[in-house]
Amino acid sequence: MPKFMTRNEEIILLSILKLKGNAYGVSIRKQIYKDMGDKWSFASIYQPLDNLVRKKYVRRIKGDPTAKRGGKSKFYYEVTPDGQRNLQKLKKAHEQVWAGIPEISLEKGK
Amino acid sequence: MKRTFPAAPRLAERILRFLYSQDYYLERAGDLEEDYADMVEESGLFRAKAWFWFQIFKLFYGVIRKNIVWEFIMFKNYLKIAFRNITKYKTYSFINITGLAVGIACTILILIWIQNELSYDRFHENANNIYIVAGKYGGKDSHTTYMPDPLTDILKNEIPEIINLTSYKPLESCKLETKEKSFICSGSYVDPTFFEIFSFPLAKGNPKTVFSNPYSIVISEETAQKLFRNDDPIGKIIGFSYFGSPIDLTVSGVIKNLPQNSHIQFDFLLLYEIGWWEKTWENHCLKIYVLLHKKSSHNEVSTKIAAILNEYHSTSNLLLHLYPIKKIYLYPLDSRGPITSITIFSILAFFILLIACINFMNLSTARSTARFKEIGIKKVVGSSRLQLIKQFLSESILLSFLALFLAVIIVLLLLPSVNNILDKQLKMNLTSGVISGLIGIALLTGIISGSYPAFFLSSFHPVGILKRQFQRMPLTKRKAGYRLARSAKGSSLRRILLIAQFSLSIFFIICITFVYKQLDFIRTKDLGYDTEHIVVLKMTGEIRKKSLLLKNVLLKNPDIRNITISLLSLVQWESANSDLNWTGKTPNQQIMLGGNWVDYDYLETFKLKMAQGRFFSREFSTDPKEACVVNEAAVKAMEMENPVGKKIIISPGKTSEGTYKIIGILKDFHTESLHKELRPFLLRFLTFPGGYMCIKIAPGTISNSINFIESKVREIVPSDPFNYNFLDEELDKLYKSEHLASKLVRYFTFLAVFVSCLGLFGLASFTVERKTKEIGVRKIMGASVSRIVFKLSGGFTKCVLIANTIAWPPAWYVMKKWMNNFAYRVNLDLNVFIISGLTALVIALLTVSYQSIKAATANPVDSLRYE
Repeated sequence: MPKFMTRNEEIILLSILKLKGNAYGVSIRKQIYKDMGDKWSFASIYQPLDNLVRKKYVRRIKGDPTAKRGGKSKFYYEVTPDGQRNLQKLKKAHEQVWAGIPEISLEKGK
Repeated sequence: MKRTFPAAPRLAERILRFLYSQDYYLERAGDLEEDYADMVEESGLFRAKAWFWFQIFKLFYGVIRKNIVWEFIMFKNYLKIAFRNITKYKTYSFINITGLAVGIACTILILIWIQNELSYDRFHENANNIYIVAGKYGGKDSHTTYMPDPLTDILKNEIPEIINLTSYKPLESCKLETKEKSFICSGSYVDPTFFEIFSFPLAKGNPKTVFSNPYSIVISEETAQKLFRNDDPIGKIIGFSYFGSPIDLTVSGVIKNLPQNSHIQFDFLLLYEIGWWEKTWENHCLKIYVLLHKKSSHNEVSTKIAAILNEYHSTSNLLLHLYPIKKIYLYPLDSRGPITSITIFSILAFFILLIACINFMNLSTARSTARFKEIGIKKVVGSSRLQLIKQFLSESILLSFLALFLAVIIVLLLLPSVNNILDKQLKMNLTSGVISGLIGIALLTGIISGSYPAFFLSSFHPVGILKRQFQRMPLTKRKAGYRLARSAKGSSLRRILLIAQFSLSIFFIICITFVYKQLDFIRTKDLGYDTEHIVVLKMTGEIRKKSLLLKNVLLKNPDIRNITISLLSLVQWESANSDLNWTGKTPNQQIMLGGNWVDYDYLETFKLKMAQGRFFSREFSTDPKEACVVNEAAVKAMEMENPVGKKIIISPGKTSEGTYKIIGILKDFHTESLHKELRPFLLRFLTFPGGYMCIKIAPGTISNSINFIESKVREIVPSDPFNYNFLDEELDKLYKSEHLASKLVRYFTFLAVFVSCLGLFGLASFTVERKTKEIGVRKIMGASVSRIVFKLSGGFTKCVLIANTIAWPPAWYVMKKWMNNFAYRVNLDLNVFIISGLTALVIALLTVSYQSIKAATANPVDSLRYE
């Protein structure tokens, strides 16, 4: 059984995975915009991020400061093995749950 | 290439810094700025700023929601559960809230009182620098604040640190009269500098000029009201008489009514210059208040003053010093001030609050078994220990606030009667300080009384609670479970608290019994003279001169048995003189002889007894001039043998020298309060108008006789007001503070016992409830009702007995100390201890027995079915 998390957490976790080591607040937000066409506020990114850190699915790593950031450090996020394992389980569960539902019945439901 | 980036709004950054810790602030502010820089480029500064602020708002809201909104929702839930608990267990809640309310009410009352006591004489602008000149009699522990007149000039001229000083000569029982009205009041002679030193505000008149005319008088608003109703008193003429005939004075000012928290109290002020007494070094008659320079130390000035008196008047045995007026009320020089009672009653109030808190803790822990399931479920669902602690604390704080509300109502209801008892005008001013103080008390009691149950209850392991199978658990878990098992048995802490409560109650009971015994002892002690049915007329003004006439007129009534006129009251020891010589005096004998001037009927009226010799008698024409009567204490002090016929010389070598032959020795009688040892005194014959007329009337004719006396007094001196007292009442006044103390201690004792019993009742009912099944089984097995009652009460009895042994030693010690205030006292009887202990036991058993008898007589079928 996978450990469930909220949809927002799941989306953010996947974005971090996709960004491959370049995941920090701004880039995560951009990734989400690219994937879903929706601009999230920073508040709705940080809250799930904090939860993920607390659940130990991601790690927080201090990076270097840049001028563009007013001399403030970046903080990168990285998915932990725990997080990866859980994502795999989650994906499997999703696929099983969704399996056998034809596109047409979905459209009709609309 | 180096690019510069637009800086983000600084205020916004500050908000972020406030919201987050350093690490998170760096990350979040950095991310926002990075995006902000892009935004500025894309859509312009204004939109970027708006966007930035919107982000900040969202972040802010998120933090608020996480930290406060959820807390608030949980808090609402705590309150809901607390209210449900209160309504579900009505008896317990009632006991808890009433107990706490009584405790808090006591504390509030005491605090109001203390606040008032501490505020004495602080309202003067110069309060910190005003001192009174005080003296200590060489080598003796007796003080005086009455100083000779010549001292004032010396202080004024010789000591530069003294900026200002005023004489203050109090006058009692003076008559103020206008054409229409007259009444007796007391006031004082002062210097014109009086208003420069003290800050008594004037309602009318200018403080700088009120005394520019020497024959002026400043009266209080109350006096003005009495004499002139609502007319403007300024410029009106008042006739003033103290001994002698009235002089006319012009009203030049009206003082606003004096604050009750001033040690100086007067109805009027006159100028010192117009007083006519002997202004010599021997006549100690006035008080001196000095205003020191802010930077001078009063100790240094004290030593200077002491030296100066030696220089100018070397025969004086007074050691002078300065005493701050801020201390004179709380720590008076010559007697015990209210500071002792303040300490005692704050301790008492604290104890009662403590007892109430103990109740709360006891009942909550006892009730804990009933709430184990709730706690267990909460823990399983995921509540943290901290949350449980919060829940219990908010519950107890809620209760204490309810109690506070009730307490404030109690205080408001009780204040008038408390004022009556204390003879004060205490008020509950709801200033912000008082309100925060009250909330502080409630919070404190809530936290203190709730902390134990909060930490205790939240410590159990959920599995242990829900399964109740402690033995089979792993060792670590068993530990927590073990605690549970113990608490189910009745925690030892609960018993300790119960014992503490009862120790305090028993302590109170013992103390009040001894206080009563002592006061009763005083009241019934043979004082050596008759105190009943004696009316005391204090004579001032006109009536003094006509006192002999009045005496003869009054004696015609057969209901009036005897009349004596004397200069001073019987209950005073005054006019002391140490300038004495007598036959056989050795040079190092120094004694103080109190004095009084009396007439022939003194002995008969008070039914005094002679030890040797005779009293003044009409048969000896030389008596008025050269005879005196002393008491046994005086003979002892002078170390005379065969005193009758020996001579005493008063003020030898002075103009007022007088030689008196001792014609008789009076058996000792107690003229003063029994705090003090009997003091020696000497009676001389009254050859001038006296100050007091004591009238012995026949028992059962009191109201008739009083009416008769009044009518005669009116006939002889129609203008004077008629004032009288009863001697036994006067005597009772000597023990005013003791009566007050006994009254208060009585109330406190009652409250302590009441609150303890409330707690006991709660505990007992709880124990009984928990043992319903056990009792049922016992009954089925054949236990008798008495056996069950005995079993149920046994534990409590043990507690009360232990409490007895704890309470006795401190009670003994405290009473021993208190009794030391009296020169004549009762013994510390063991009986009292035993009886007090038994009383507590009986009260406790009565409280418990209601519950246990109810349980024991219940039908076992019902109790066994109760699952």
